Amino acid sequence: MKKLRWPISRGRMILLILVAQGVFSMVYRFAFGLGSCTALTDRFPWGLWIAFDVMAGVALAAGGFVLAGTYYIFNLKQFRPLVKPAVLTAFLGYLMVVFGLLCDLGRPLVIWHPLVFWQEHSAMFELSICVSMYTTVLFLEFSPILLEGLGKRAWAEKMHRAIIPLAILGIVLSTMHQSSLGTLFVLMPYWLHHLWYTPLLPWFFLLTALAVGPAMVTVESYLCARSLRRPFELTLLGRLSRFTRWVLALYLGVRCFDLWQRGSLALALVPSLESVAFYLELTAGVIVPLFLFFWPTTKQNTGQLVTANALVVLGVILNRANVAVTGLIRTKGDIYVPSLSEFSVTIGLVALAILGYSLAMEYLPVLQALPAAPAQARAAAKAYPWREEPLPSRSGSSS
Amino acid sequence: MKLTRRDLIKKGVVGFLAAAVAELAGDLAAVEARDEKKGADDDWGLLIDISRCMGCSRCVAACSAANPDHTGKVLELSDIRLLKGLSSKNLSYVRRVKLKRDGRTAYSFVKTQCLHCLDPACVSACPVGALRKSERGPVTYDASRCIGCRYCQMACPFGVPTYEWDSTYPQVRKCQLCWSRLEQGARPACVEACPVQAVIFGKRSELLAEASKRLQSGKYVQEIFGLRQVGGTSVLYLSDVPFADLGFPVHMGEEPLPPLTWNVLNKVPVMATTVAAAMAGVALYTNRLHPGQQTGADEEKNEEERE
Repeated sequence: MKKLRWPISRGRMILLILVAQGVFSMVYRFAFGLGSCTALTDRFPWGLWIAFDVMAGVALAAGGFVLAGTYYIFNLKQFRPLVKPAVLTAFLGYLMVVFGLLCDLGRPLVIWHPLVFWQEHSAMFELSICVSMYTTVLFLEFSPILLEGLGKRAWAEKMHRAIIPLAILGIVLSTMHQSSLGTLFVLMPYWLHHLWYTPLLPWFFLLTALAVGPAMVTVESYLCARSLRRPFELTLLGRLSRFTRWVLALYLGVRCFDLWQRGSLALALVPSLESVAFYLELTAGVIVPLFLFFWPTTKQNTGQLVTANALVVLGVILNRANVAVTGLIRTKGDIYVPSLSEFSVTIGLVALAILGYSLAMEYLPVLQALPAAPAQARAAAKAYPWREEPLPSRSGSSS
Repeated sequence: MKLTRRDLIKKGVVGFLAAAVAELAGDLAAVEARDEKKGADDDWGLLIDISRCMGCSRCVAACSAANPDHTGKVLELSDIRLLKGLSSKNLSYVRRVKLKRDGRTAYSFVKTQCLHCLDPACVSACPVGALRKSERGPVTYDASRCIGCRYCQMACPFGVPTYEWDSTYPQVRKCQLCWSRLEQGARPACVEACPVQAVIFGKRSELLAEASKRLQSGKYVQEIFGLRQVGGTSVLYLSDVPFADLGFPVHMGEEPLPPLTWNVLNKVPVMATTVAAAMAGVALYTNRLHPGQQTGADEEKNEEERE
């Protein structure tokens, strides 16, 4: 493992400041209680931390199990360059989810209680078991990268041998808890607006997670390629989007059929806060990306491909926010707007995840070595003059 | 050596899953047996007669005295007049509804607290079993188990459970039908405080008999709220004004809520096993995981070495 260097770059300095302000808000929350700094009330006991940090966070981290499955289980070797970054993001994403949850729980010290006091009639019970197990699985899937980065190559190889059972376990746990996030709301037919409420919510949450996992991997690859001056894996990610678009198309079809079949489609025709949110979510997050995905030039066009995938990400965030907050406003007869402290903690956690990602990219063998490209190396050397070795590479750190 | 270890892991995973599925199936059977065993006739509950209530709020004062908040504060009648709804400081509250009756303004008073559903959504929602439907009817809360996820608040169709937002180690607060008083043979505090017997305490079957008797007097709307809503509740309401006018959730159906999630959750063991088996099958096929051939992981290692 390379030694950490000082001074750190400006980007990381900003991230550190964001993390620090998040930590401050978190300390404040623990010192004075939830009521002191959040906008949560008895009418809206769940807010930004559940809707975004947990619900959207878990969905956006779905790339980990989707790509682990694609590569290790379905053995589609071409996707190899995407697997390690995806597993890393998923692991960091779940850490963010767990931190967010610790912050949101009233009694975070006893977060382990579901492991002891089983209550199998509760979707929340299933969720907590699966998330805790899956975070462990992700750590184990990620451990070969970490061990290799620490120079323990032999241990890394030993861990790597368990990768297929781990990938299977990861897929099982993910299928279960991605869907049970939707199951949580199946219990609320009298609260949740019927543009979102359906007994099929678990399936919709699973389908959107399957679509947004690869979409998030694409967006990250793009950002990573830009910041590390690496080439963007256009062909590969274009191929990945062929999977995403069918999942998304299936979701749109079943969603519309379900609305029609339950007689809720008329609700979309009434002008209201809910119908506007519904159209925004479905148009920006599903229909436009689908249109782009099926557009013949998208697979060869970085801008179009990244836009389509970024819209899928946005759509899933909107969907989770609508299910957890917007869809409840009418029946609760109240409105919820997150407080500054809630935003502060969320921003801090996202910054922490990005910082972790960027540090891992630099100090751990996550990305594949590139064939020597002098022009790129020069560009990178210009961008990061303090680095002896401009491009992170597997061979550089392990030998 | 390698193969035996891999076999061991495989056997371990399969064995673990099989054991877990068997265990869960056993639990589920036991739970269903328990659910079917008991009728609700013997459950303790309340009968609240809205036509009798004059809105004095003495029940709320008594409730607060019996259940002070976490700072030990007991509400005075002057505090009670300012209440807007349930909170962690008052587990019950009397809602004042302004109505037009025979062309002139009249008020109705609705004593509000936990309805103690026969099949409570909050109990099914709680991931740690902190909320329970006790054998005798009241839905009780055990703070020592609670993790503070607040799913009970989200789940309750009546919006009853409240949270101690001002505490650093908060509890969920809800009416527990004065469970500790009942155990000592006393009646709930609100029942004892009511000067006009607008709220009476008893077994559900007795309360229903009393309710049907009163309904015959002709001054009531011919409905008992709580008889069947969301599977029935232990707290029953009679009213001389249509329940819809009083803001009762009359749109609620007769189906209890917990089966909605249970219908999904009871498929989890089968789904998990199916997904695991399917993925293992695919992995065996694509990686040809049998003696003498390489796994995807091994190939990757070799590839790395070639690099």
